[in-house]
Amino acid sequence: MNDHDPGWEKIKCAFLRPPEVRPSDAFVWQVMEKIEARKPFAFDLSSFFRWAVPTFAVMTAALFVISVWPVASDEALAQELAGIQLDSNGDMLEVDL
Amino acid sequence: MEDQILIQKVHAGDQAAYTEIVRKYQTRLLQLCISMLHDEKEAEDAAQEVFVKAFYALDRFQGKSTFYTWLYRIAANHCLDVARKKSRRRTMSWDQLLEEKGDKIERLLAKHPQTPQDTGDHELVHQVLALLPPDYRLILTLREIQGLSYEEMTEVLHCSLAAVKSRLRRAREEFKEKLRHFLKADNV
Repeated sequence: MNDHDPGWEKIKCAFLRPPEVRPSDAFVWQVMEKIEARKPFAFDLSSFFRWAVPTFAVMTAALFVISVWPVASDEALAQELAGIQLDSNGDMLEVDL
Repeated sequence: MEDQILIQKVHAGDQAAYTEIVRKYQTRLLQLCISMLHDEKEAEDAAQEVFVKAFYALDRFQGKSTFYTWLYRIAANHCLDVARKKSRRRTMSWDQLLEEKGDKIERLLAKHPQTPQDTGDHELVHQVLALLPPDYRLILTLREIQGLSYEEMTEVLHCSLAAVKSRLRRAREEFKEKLRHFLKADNV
């Protein structure tokens, strides 16, 4: 069977025509988007500063709040439990042992 | 721009060069995927997947073959995988199709080569091609639709020239055999 078999030529014309396809920018854009989405994480200085600096700042602020707040409440609780009362100047009024 | 130059640019980190490659080959790759999968949406997804795979495999392209035969090889393997999964879900047999749409097939075969096909024809073409084994569909698509030479086909299919010719002959024989009734009726 060769390329010029008339029976085959009929089949080819009927069933093996190139499908109509229009090139589109959307297709190209979608391919590039998929490539971008699958890129493995790579360390570089700019991404470090973009993510690490704000994260570090937020964490520092959070640590500061956490470290200050419990101390104040612990002090008040300890005084209450110990029966210590302070006057308006902060001097000890009585100690109830 | 030459493929080799574009590839070098991509290697150097110029992603815009890859958009040029996609732009250059999108039509041919989409045609291959549509011919293999018979569903435009699926074919578009498959073609995009092939371009993504090719991007991440670009480091392994050694330039021993032409870039587009290398790209076609990725596309051929991907489409074969998808088509094999699809053919397991096949619901219609050749006999059923020939019985239900024999008259339409006969009319399509009798059409003049220059006569444009309508939507109904396209649907019928897809139904007929979907019944061919995926390997035959691939080799027929590469040769008859994409117009690849035998040498290019050896690169895409990663086999010898003799194997390409023999597979192509078997695919054509099978296709002709399925439609022999209509061809005989026409004294071809």
